Amino acid sequence: MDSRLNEVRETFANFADEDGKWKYLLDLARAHKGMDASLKDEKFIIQGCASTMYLVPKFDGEKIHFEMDVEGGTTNPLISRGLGALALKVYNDMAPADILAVDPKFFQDIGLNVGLSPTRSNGFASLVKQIYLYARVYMALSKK
Amino acid sequence: MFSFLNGKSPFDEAEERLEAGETVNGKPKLPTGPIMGWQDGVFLLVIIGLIVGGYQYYQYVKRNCAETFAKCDSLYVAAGEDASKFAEVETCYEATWDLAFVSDTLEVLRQNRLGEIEDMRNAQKDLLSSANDALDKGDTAAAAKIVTEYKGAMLLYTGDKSEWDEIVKIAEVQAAKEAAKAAAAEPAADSVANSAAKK
Repeated sequence: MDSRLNEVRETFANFADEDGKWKYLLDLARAHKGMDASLKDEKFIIQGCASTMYLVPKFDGEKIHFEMDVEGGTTNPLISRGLGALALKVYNDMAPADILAVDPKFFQDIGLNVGLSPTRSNGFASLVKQIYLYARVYMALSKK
Repeated sequence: MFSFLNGKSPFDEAEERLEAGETVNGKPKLPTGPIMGWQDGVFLLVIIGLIVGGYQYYQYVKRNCAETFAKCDSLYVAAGEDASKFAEVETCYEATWDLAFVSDTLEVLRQNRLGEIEDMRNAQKDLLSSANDALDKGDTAAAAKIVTEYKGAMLLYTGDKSEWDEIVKIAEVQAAKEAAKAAAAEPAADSVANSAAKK
């Protein structure tokens, strides 16, 4: 878990300027594979995002696997998709307890929010909140 | 003969000649006929045409992209002076989705500017929501004030836009009523002043 956080922290620390951060998010977005259309159910839409972002969790009893995709109608919301991919880079395929152990302010601390539009910033916060919510639910279920 | 189409490289051909004993001073005998057949010539021309055409197309696409983004950029600068132009800026950047080539730098610019406009749209949605709340409370003056004080671009989509337009109409009726009230009050005030002066 720490290695993932350190990798992301280092990546952000090494950006020479703001442009580096945006291009990194574009790269993440382009490399991110979407999800099967059959998974795109309304109940998986992250509320508060400017684009339509789907986050589908799958718990195997140990770790949570997330599928994420963003739809933007006629536009290509690369930054939003990049933000989603970044969140998954940290939280995907982690045990619920490990997810909950990550400081929710991690992304704020590494400077992700700097220069991010309020809408995207709020959307990202909603996404992270939803990931923690799933982690709490699955942790509670696995204790039963 | 030099050929692209017979499946042999010039080296194979030279080797064959050498094996056949066609040598001059121990080196393969140079071909005496035309250097290549007409089919190979056509093939070579097609390849050259594709390379040149591809390069020209790439230059055209790059120039077209730069021109379109420059146009959007100048609109964006103009919108800095007149916020109502942000709708045009958005339309301009939306049109760039049709471009065949967009560099990373321009992609970042497009994403950020469209994000900025999305924020403005959300801010206008918030205003609409406040105006609707005021209307629900029966405070039409407050609702009218919210929409009339807004100086930004109309960025709302169909449903929200018609709600906004309705409130604008209410605001206009409200303003007309107030103007009529003020006009009615003016002669009365004048007559009071006149009669006071006569006394």
